Amino acid sequence: MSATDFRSRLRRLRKDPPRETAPLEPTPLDLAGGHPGETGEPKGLQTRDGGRTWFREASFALDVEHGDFALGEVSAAHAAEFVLLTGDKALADLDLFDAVYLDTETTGLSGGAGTYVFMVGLGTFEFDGDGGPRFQLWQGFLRDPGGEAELLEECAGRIRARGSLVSFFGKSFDRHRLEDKMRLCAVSAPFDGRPHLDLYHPCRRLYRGAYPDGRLKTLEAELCGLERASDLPGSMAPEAWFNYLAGRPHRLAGVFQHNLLDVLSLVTLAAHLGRSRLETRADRSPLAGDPGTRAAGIARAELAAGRSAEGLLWLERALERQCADARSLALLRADLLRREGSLDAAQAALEEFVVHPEDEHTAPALVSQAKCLEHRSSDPVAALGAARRALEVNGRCGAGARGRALNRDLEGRIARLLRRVEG
Amino acid sequence: MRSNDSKPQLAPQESSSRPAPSAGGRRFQRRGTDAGEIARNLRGDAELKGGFVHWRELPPRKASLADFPPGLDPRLATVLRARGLEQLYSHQRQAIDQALAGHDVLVATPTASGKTLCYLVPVLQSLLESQGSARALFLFPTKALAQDQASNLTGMVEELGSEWHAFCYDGDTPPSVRRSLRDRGHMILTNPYMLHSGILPNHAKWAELFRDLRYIVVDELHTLSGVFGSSVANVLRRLVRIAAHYGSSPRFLASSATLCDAAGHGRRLFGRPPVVVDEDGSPSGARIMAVYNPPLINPVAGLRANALEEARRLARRLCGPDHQTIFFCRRRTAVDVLTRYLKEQAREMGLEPDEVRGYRGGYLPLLRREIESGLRKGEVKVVVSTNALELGIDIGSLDVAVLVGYPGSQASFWQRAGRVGRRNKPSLVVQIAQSDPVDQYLAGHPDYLFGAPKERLALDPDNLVILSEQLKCAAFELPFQRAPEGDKLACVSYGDSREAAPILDYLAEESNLLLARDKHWYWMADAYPAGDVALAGGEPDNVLILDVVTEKAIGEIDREASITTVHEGAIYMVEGQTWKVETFDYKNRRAYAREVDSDYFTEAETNTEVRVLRLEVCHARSRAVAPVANPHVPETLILAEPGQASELGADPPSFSSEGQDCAIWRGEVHVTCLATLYKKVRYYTRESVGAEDISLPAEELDTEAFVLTLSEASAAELGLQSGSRGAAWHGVGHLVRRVAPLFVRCQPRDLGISTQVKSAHFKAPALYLYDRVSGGVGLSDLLFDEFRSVLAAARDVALGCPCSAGCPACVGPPGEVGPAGKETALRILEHLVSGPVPEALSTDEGTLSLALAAAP
Repeated sequence: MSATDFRSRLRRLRKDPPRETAPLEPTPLDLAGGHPGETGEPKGLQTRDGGRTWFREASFALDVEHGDFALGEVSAAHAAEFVLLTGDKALADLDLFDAVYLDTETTGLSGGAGTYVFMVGLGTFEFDGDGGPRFQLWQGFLRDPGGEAELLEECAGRIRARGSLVSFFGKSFDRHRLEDKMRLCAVSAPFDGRPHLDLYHPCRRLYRGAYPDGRLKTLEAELCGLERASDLPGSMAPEAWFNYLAGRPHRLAGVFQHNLLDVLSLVTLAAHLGRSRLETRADRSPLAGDPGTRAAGIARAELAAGRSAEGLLWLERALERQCADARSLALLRADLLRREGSLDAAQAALEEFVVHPEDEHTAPALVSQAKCLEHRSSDPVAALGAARRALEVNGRCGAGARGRALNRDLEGRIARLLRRVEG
Repeated sequence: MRSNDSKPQLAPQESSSRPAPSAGGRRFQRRGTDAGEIARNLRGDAELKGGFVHWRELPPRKASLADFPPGLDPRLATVLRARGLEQLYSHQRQAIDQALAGHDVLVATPTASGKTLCYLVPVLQSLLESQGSARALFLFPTKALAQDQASNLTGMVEELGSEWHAFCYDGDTPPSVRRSLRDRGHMILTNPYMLHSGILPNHAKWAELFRDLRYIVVDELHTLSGVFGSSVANVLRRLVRIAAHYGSSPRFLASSATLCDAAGHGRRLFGRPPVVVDEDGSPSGARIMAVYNPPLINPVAGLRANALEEARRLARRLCGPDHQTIFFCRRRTAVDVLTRYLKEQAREMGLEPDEVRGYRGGYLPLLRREIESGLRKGEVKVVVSTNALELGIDIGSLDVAVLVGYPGSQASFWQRAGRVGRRNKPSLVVQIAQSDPVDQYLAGHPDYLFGAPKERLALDPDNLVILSEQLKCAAFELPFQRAPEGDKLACVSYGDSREAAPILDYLAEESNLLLARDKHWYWMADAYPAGDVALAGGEPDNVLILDVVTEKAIGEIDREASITTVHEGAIYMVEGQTWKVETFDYKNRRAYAREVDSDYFTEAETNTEVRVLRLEVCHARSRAVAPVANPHVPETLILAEPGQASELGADPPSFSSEGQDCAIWRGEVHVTCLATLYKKVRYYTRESVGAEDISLPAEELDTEAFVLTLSEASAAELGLQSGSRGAAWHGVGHLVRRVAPLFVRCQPRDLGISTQVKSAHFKAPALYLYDRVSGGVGLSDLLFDEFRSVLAAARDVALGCPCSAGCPACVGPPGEVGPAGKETALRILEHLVSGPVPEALSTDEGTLSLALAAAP
């Protein structure tokens, strides 16, 4: 069978539509001058002598502003904030000047062996050499899918040269894409044992619910004052690379630019988060971002770290700032007071709390009240009253698995209190 | 595993926690019956005598034993001895020897012959030898089987005192444990679906498994045929390719029910020939097999008593308190009905109603585990099941099996029959025939069941549709490298496939999914192909049936069937509820239906046209060597369809012995199926209450077909003419399609049929049996090879059928095949199966010789 016959037979059997050919766009690739803050001569795509890895480099002086922050402001960030917000003690010695800032562009989000990491942006602070102190961005690029192993080898070396790693969602995504590919290409991966600050999680911890979504683009705008002028959405990056490989490179400059902005935002976002509890920037101006949500986030982080006093303080700040989920914070505060033994304060808070129109927090508050009355005031009769009321309220407002669990708990509690009262 | 059998078998009365029934009760009267006694009673029963058309006693067989292989690790030998195994069965020894010698091995022996050990020993030996660095991957057809084996393996590893792990990896595996399972699992037990869509596309995460993968264990190999098997063969090609990437070259260890051409099937699946071990060395108790054909109710129409009712009647003799009986039904609803019947009559059988249980897919797992354990402990005396209990689930050995209807394949028959039989006690298997052609054939030809396996498994890993879809998945997993010029395969490392390279070019240039560059093909799309490629085929094209009010899905149907089932106005039924289809959005694959109270159902009529695209092989025989015996003298001499008469004129057919008698062909065809109209048919009375047109696009299919042609001269002499007598040709086709599964493993619905009394292509009567899968998966090849057996079975069914002029159990009712339909069909079949076998011709010669026979 001839090749044409074979193809038409295959098309017929597969029920494929006739082939569509996209017109070739002759736009040349112009990569010079990716960012207004770049210093030195604008540079295009380069290759190392004898190597197959393609890359582009850009340098930024430390006073270059990216949004409201200068890149150098990262020096004012405190590593303790990252430990608090991630719970990861390995970050205690994080030196943001020694970290490598990582962001990748891939051919899809699904992962798997066929997903290519076709661009790796690695940013580092450099203090030696001719250029003086600067932020140096290296963007490795897969010009040919056959060059994967070489690109990965180079990236692994560059990451290994630094003490730690900063990324956005990289612990869940970029790291795994690179690790999978490295394993596939028999390149040894540099990630194990290296502190990795994934900014996504602290951002979520501090500002959950304050903004419509948790994407880098949203957060850099809200927290670091960056508005991207003409950004190629990340979702269009795969298509841009496919087009480049097919001889249509018109979109590729946009991907380099997008990746560059992402890496710079890692620096400024780290600068912001590293000042969380101070709530001011290095020049004492207030930190951007919703203060109420932030205070609540810090409170929860402090409590999770076992620091009740700090937690209480930040809870009260959050309540003063009238943050969004004030009811649950108020309940958290009352519970905390009770556990810490400030009984009168706890009871006052709870009494105030349960006057409010019934909602899903009322029953748990009544339970807390019952505990107060039983254990601290040794008043089982009043405790029984509170527990009964809680059961009643839960019947009206408690829904789902949580409501059912509370119900079971209350039935047990009431039975026990009854025995105590009667016996 | 023999270890199960070696545990003491608790006699049912010992393990039962029930209070002993009072002496003198029905239960007491029925005590102490065993399968042998039941069989003797049945044989002596005057009332039932006529129904039991066949009895066969297979004498007890002694074990053929062999010592442990000399190379067996002593630690493993100790564990086996501790489990009560002093020796191996001869086939186990043979299989283990071959595996240890580094061969691919396929063990094809009956159920309960200890096949598991054949692969467990080499796997554990490799772990011992490599000090835990070796890995093995196990593929099971169901999750339950994988879980059973995982606990068995874990037990053996513990007895070996090792720290190795056997893990199940399936859809239920929580993401939190997947990582440790990937890195620490020495033996991974999974199924083809997870391998296809979970493991292979993410092979980098599984690098630990692939780095030193020694064995790929494939259990229940006979379940891999048709589209599913052909897809799995490709998944295995991908697996071998990935393993090679990580530097390992695993061997296959497979087990299967007894198979016809096991070696060929194994070779097609693995891409290389395995050593086949099929001489069973395990012992068995005496087995009594009986075939029961329900009495004729209406001899003219060939109608027999309902098999389910007969099962209920026989149950009174087959069930009792001191033994365990299993009933196998073909459908889920039959399980529920029979379970209810048997619970109602439990006391008459000396049982309590809760000693009778149903079992099928759809029962909750906990309930199923409870019934399984009740069976093992002997507390459940009667179980009614679908094929859910056919495959490997451990329920111990029972005493009596009743198969209500032939399960559709020999492998299934023996697996079901294999559920009964203890070493020291006789067992009984009763096959109750239903009224369809295959069941009736078996009632008349019990030797078919007891002889060597005759059905062949269709498998075509190189079906272009399946191959191209699987190549997408493979390219995603690793780039393909074009081999140096002059290499025949022109593409490396994809099994024995010869068409991979042109397909990869197609996917690169036409589908824009791959990038061809520097002798490589790279996956180049933002997609996860394994997520879209279904192993069993068909799924992405299915039509969803939605409730027009709630917009909830009430059902799903494949695209081919949609034009006759969910066209506008169709009555769609779900478990007794009726829905009327209001709109069918053909393009978007959605049908909207409203629940209605309907006193009629709908039946669509279709017009199927088959056009020959290409003929590949022809075997023919001449009229000279196969003259028609007692040529039929026609009353009228019209040979052509009405309207075409002038072309041929009304010349009497030549009775010369020139030219061709009949021919069989294999080739590629284009099938167009158009739904024309639907009839509304009243329930019960089947009275027609109206008909309406269907206007939907035709379903088109390119596939492979087996074609049977008769020359006009022979057709005329056999009495096959156009008009009502031509319907006999349709009757032949109908019957051939129904009995084909006796020799070619498939469901009748996997085959399409079209008969033409005067085919435009052959200018003669032609019968097409085509594979209903785009591109075909090898059914037509097998039909071509087996056509004489298939036609002989069809002849035997028609001949043995008591009906007078055709019925649904043979050629079809007289209303469809005409008053002389059965007689004519029989003459044709008889003629085709006698005389010499057609011989190979080139397809041109075949056509020429056909033309010669048509010449006046």
